[in-house]
Amino acid sequence: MSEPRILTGEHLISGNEAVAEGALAAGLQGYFGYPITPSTSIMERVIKRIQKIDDRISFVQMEDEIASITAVAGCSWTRKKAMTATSGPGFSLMQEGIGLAGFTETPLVLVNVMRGGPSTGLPTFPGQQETMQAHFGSHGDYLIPTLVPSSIQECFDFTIEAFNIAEALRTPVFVLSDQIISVLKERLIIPEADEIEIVNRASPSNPKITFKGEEIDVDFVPPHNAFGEHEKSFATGLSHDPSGHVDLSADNYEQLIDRLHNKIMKYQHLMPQPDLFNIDDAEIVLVAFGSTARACRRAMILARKEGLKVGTFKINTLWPFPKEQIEKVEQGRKILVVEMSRGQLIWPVERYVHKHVHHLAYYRGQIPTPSIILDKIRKVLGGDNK
Amino acid sequence: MTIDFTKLHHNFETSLTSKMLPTIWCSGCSLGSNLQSIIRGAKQAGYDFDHDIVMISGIGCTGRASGYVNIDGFHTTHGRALPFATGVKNGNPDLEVIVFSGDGDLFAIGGNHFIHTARRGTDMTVICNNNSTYGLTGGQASATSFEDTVTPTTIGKNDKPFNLVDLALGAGATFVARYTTAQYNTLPRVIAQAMRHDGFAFIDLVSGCPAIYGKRNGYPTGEYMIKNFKEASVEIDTSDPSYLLSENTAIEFDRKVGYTKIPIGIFRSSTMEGKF
Repeated sequence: MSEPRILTGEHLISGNEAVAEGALAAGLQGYFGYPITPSTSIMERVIKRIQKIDDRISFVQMEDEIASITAVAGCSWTRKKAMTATSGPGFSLMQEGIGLAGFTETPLVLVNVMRGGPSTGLPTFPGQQETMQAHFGSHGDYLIPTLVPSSIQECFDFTIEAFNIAEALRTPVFVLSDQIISVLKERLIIPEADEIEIVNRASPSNPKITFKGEEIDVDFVPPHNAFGEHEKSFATGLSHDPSGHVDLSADNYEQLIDRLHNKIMKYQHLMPQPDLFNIDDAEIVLVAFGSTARACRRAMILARKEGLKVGTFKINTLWPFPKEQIEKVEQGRKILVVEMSRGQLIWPVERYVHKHVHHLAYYRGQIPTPSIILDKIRKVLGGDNK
Repeated sequence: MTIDFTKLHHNFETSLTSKMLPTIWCSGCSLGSNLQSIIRGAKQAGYDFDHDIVMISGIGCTGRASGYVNIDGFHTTHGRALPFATGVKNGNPDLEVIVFSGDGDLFAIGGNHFIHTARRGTDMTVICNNNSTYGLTGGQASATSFEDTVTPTTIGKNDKPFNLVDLALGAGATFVARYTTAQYNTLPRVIAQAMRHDGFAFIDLVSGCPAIYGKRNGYPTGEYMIKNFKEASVEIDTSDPSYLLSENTAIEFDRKVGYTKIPIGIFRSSTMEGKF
């Protein structure tokens, strides 16, 4: 019995299942993956669903994560929306293919469900230790939009956003979830199909596309000339000219690297913006993303009951970093970064906040509970600068 | 004698990307001839170069081929031509997917991808330009370098080489052939057959690197290499059931004279139920 691609209605499902539903709603056409906890249930949900959907959606269980990301890129070059999902060790293996996809402007979505590392690390307790790897994991200069959901609704919404950004800007996009969000179940509302914006990448015959009402500039994002479409299509992981062919000259390389960076920065405002809670009168602002942002909001509510003026800055797009917004928020307020890593999110915050940044680095394979965060807030407001 | 290069023409000029020529390949190299065999094979098989075919290549001297042919193509990272091709074939099953790569790319760094792609039977044609060395990085030992040959990474003896025919048969490839660069008359027909094959087709295309590996190991020039290939090639006898035994499919090599035995022919050509 066939099922619709978009399951409009109310659901009680997990973060990973919501990611799979988001991908299907966004128009997923190919999934290539390798099992790894805690991401595997995304793959399993996709497989379960695609067998009941009438559209052709290909799936191949690959031999490893390097193969998975490379096959996703290959599928994308036939103008298909493709994705994979993985966790820490698999994300490390995928770095090679991420560089290739970024450099060849290949739209794809990679969901990394974070667990504690390094190496095999903490299977499968939560972590947020791929914060910097998402930015600098592969060799060379590149920038990949990275969305960080902290609720089941956001797992669904941000996966659709990720596909749309990938298609609009011809880039890989990361969704960085974590072990807590992956298994957490809460309410998901899937809207009617016609209420969901779906973006399809530009082609030589249809070069003008819009994303959130804005026309994408072809000088920044060239239309995708995919395989089998009557116009010769070629791409290489070597430095290349606009036709895709090898060109190692200095000027060409510099222009290419700049354009690939600038196309992401130019449309940063179309990516999910940070959520600000109780900032106006706040003396201290908690900066966090993912599951820790949930704990921060709870800690903020508890603190407010004690009369402590606490706000929360919840990051939704980690990269490019919401530089302007954090610069506005930091003025006259203390900043406390809360993260499940020894110190990764604090790096970009320290870069843009021009004063001492307080830090709750919680790297125990557990989420810092609201009471732990509240304790830290009290200390910081009491003048403890440690 | 002076040659007026502007007056020279290539038989398959329209199938090549002229702005990328000349190639990076050395004089005497097998790759130019092999590439021509593929173009002839694809034409014989009746594919339209405008939209029927995609050529995927890996890294190395061979990797550059996809940029030289005037068809859709992708030059992937080292060893990853097969997973990329798997994505392409699954994305658009109407495309004929050719993987054109080398022994280092397909069987050292990409070895795991090879056995799994063969096992799955994904419909594609994989041509390994097997010159037993890493030419582009200076002639180091590869997974098919012969034991008694000398390379910059050889200490005493090289490790035992892969027998690619044996490996492909074992991994479940449904079309397995081996020829050398010297069989340029036969190759287009075999390549056309491999392309039309519905399943994973593999050709071990024994090639030479006279400029680096050959110079150190018994075949110093392209001319000598072609003669050597012709003399060493032995057509397999498929009526004798023992032709598939490893010892009968193995290539033999002597560092003083080059190849001494190259069993050639079509080792397997079974039809399987199409995966697409």
